[in-house]
Amino acid sequence: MHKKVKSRLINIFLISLVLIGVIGLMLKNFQDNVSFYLTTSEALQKNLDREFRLGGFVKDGSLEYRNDGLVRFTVTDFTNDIAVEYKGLLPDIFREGQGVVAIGLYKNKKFTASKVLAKHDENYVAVETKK
Amino acid sequence: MHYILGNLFISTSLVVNAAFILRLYLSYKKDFKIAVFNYKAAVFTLILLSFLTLVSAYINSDFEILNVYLNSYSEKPLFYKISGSWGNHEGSLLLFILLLSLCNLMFFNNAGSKLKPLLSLYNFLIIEVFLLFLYLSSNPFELNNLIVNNGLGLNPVLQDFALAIHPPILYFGYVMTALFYSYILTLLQTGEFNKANIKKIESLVNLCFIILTLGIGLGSWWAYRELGWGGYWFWDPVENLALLVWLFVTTLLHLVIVNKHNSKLQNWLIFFGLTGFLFVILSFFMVRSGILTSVHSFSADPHRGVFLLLIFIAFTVLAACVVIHKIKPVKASKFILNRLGLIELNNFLFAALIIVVGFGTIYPIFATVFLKQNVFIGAPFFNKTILPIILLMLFFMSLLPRSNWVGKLRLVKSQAYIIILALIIAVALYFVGVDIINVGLVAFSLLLIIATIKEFYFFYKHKKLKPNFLRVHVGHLGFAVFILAIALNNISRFETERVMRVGEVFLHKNISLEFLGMDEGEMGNYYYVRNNFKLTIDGKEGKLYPEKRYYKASKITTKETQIKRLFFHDIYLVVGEIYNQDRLKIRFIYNPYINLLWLGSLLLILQFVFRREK
Repeated sequence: MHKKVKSRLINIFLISLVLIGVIGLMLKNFQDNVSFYLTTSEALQKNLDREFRLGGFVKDGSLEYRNDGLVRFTVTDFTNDIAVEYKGLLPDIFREGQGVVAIGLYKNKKFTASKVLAKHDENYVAVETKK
Repeated sequence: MHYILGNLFISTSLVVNAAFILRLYLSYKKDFKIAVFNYKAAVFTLILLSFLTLVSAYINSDFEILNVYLNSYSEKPLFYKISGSWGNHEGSLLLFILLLSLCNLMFFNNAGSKLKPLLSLYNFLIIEVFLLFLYLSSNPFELNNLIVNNGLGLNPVLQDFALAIHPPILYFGYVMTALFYSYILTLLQTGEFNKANIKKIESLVNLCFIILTLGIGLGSWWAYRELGWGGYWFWDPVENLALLVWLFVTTLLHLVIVNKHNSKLQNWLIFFGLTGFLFVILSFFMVRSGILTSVHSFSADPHRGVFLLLIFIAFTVLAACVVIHKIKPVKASKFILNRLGLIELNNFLFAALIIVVGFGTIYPIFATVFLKQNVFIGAPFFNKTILPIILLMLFFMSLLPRSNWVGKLRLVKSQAYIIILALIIAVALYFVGVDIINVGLVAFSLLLIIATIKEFYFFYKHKKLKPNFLRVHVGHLGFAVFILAIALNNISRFETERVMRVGEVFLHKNISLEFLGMDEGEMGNYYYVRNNFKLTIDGKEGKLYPEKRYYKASKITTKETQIKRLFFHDIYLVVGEIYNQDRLKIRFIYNPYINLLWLGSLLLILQFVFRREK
C-alpha cells in the first residue's frame, strides 16, 4: 500500500477509535445520570421511578421541623401539591412561599429528597419557578 | 459626575479605537513603521480611565449610577466595594476589555515589523467589538432614575478574598486566548507561519495556562470554604466552561512545545490556537444571555445573548475564511510511538475530554431550547466519563520520561517494573473493595509520580537538570498528585447530616465531636450565633466554631463553615437549622487528602519558576 494512504488510514482509524470510545462512554453514562426538572403537575403525571429534580414553591404553612431532624414541607405549582421529606441541611434562604428545587425520589405519594436547593441559592436557580 | 466622566471615557475610547482601526486597515500592507505602541497606550489609557471612574463610583457609593445602586451599599468594607465593581455583568465586561487592552499593550511589541500592524489591527478590532457590546447593551454608567440613600448590597457569600480576585485572574487568562487568535491569523495571513514564530508564543501560552489554573484553583478553593458543601468542584455549567477553556489552552501548550521539534501537528495547533478564543466568546454568550442557570450567571437579558452570538459567528467566520484561504497541507508521516506519538495520542484524549465536558454542559441548553425538556446533567456523568480518559492520559504521561522526539519508544527495564508495580497496587486495592475507577486512578497516578521522581533522580545524577525538563516534569508531577488526591478523596470521604444536642458526642473512626453550646453577638455588619464544638482526634483536643450569620443590609442569613486543617485530612463542619438553645443540625465531613489537591494545583502553577531556555 502507498505510504501516504496507509498513514491516512491509520489516522482515520485512530480518530474513529477515540470517537467510538468517547461516544460509547458518554451514551453508557448518559442514560443513568441525566435527571429531569419537573414541576409538581408534571411529576404527578409522569410518575418517574428514578431520581429527578422537583421544582416549585414551598407552600405557605406547610413547613414542619421534627425533633429528629426530619423536615417536611409541601411543594406546589399552585395546581398540584407534593409532600416532601428531607433529612439534611436546608439552604439559608429556604422559606415558605419561596422557590425551591428538591432532588430525590417520588414513591408512595411522598417525595424523599436527598438534596434541597432554594431559588437564588448559591447553587442553582430553579428553571420552572422562574416562569 | 461619575456618570458624565464614565460615559465620556467610554465613548471616546470607542471613537479613538475605531480611528486606529481605520488607520491600520488603510496602511498595514504598505507602511510598516506606524507607531503602534502609542496607539495601544492611548486606547489602554482611555479604558483604564473609564474603569477607574467605575471603581471610584463604587468607593464613593455614587448611587446616581444604577450599577452601583444595584450592587453595592455604603457600609461595605472598602476592599469589597472595589471588588464589587467587577462582581456584576457590566463591570466585569469593562474589566475584560481593560485586560484586553492591557494585553494588547504588554505583548508582541517586539514582533517583526511585518507582523505588528496586522496583529494590532486584529487586537483593536476585538477590543472595538467588545466596547460596542458594552456601550450598546451593558453600559455600566447608566443613570439611576430613583433617588436613594443606600444600595441593594452584594451577596455576602461573595464577600471573600479569593472570590474577589478570582474573576480578574481568570479573565486575564481568557483575554490571552484572544492574543493567540490574532497572532495565528496574522501568521497565516502574512505567510509567516513557521517554527520560529510559533516558538515566540510558547512562554505566553504557558503564562496563560498558569493564570487559568490559578484562576480556576482560587474559585474552587473559595467554593470549598464558603459554599458549605465540602466539595471543590460541582460540575456547574460555568465552572465547566472555564475548564473547557483550560483544556483548549493546555492542549495548545503541548502543541506549541511539539512544534519546536516537529511540524507534523501544525494543523492541530492552528485549530486549538483559534478555537480557544472562539470558545471564550461562546461561553460569554452562555453565561450572560441567561440561557444557563448557574451560580455564576448574571441577570438574564436575551438582547445581550443575540449580540454575543453575532460576535461569536463573526469571529468564527473570520477565522474560517483565513484558514481555508491560507492553510497548507501537512506532509503525511507514519505514526511512531515516541515522544511525538505520545503527545499525538494525548491530543486525542484532550479532544475527548473537550467533547465530554462540552456535551455535558451544552446538552441541557440544547434540550431546553429544542426538545422543550428541562434536564440536568450532574457530577456522576462527568466523573464516570472523564475519569477513564484521565486514566489513559496518566498511562501515556508515565511513558514520557526517557522517550525521544525521534526513533521508537524503548521501555527501560525499570519502567516495566514500575508498571508492574502499579498493576499490583491496582489489583490489591480492588480486592480491598475500592471501586474500579478509583483503583485505576490511584495506581496510575502513583505510576506517573514514581516514573517522574525516578526521572528527576536520573537527570540529577547526570547533571542534566535543565529548566525545560523541570518545567514539563514538575507540571506532570502536579497533575499526578492532583488526580491522586481526587481518587483518595473519593475513596475515603465521609459525610453525614444529623441533629446534635448540647453534650452529645458524635464519633467517626478516631475522631470525636462534642457539641458544647452556643452564644450570640453582633459584629460589624452582621449578627452571629457561634456554636462551640470540641473536636478530639487521636486524643488531641481542639475547638471548632461554625457560625450562623445574619447580614443587616442585605437581610441574608449565611452559614460560616469551620475547617480543621490537618496535613492529611480536613474536618469540615457546618451548622444548619438551629432548633432551640440546645439543639441544632450539623453537616460533618471527613475530607481526606484535600491538601494534596491544592499541592497538585500549586505544582502545576509553580512549573513557571523554571524559565524558558533561550
